Amino acid sequence: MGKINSPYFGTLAYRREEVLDFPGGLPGFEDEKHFVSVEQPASRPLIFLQSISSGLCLITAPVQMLAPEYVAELSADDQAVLGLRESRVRPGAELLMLAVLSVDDKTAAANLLAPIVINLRRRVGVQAIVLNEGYSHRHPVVERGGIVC
Amino acid sequence: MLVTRRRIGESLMIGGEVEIQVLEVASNWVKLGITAPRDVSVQRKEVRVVRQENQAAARALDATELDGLVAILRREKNAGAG
Repeated sequence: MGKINSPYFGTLAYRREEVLDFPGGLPGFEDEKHFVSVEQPASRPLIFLQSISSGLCLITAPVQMLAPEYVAELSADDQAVLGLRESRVRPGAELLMLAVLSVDDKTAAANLLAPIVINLRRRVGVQAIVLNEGYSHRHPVVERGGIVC
Repeated sequence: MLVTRRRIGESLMIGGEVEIQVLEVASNWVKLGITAPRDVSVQRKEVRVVRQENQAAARALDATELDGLVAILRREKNAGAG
């Protein structure tokens, strides 16, 4: 049982079993190896990835919300960290795939080039730079009817 | 930018200790082998881009930005995506 001070949620309590391990950390945050995922009714469908050892909190959305047919070709290293039998994966019951969102000057973008992939059964995650082409690290998040690329 | 052609098996030296060798060539990719000292980082360029994106994404949003983000995604969801 632990407590974090989160920028969005104030003091957050979590159980050991809820922690997700990221053995390699994240690009730019290689020392951040333990996170919990937080969802709240007021902010659905966003999923917050809150570090348990610092105030770092990334806002994400499931990849299939941004690209309904999303499929990722994982590197051998990422496949091994996650303990997966296949390198070509889609989101599933035990495989969460989240795009990190960033907001800048009123525009929002999702990183579909490097989704955060989490094996829920093993409680392990990695930010995987996919090998397949066509996904952007800054996929625009816009309303239907806007310009989507 | 230095531009040079190398055949399979040929190498480039960068500084005194970094070597890049062409191992294999196909129509739309090349396989490279890199030898470098432990303290020199070698990574795909995309990692640097992802690092920058993560650092931008790490900035805590204010309430207005957060509400705006939720609203956009709810509209995307309701429009029948995925």
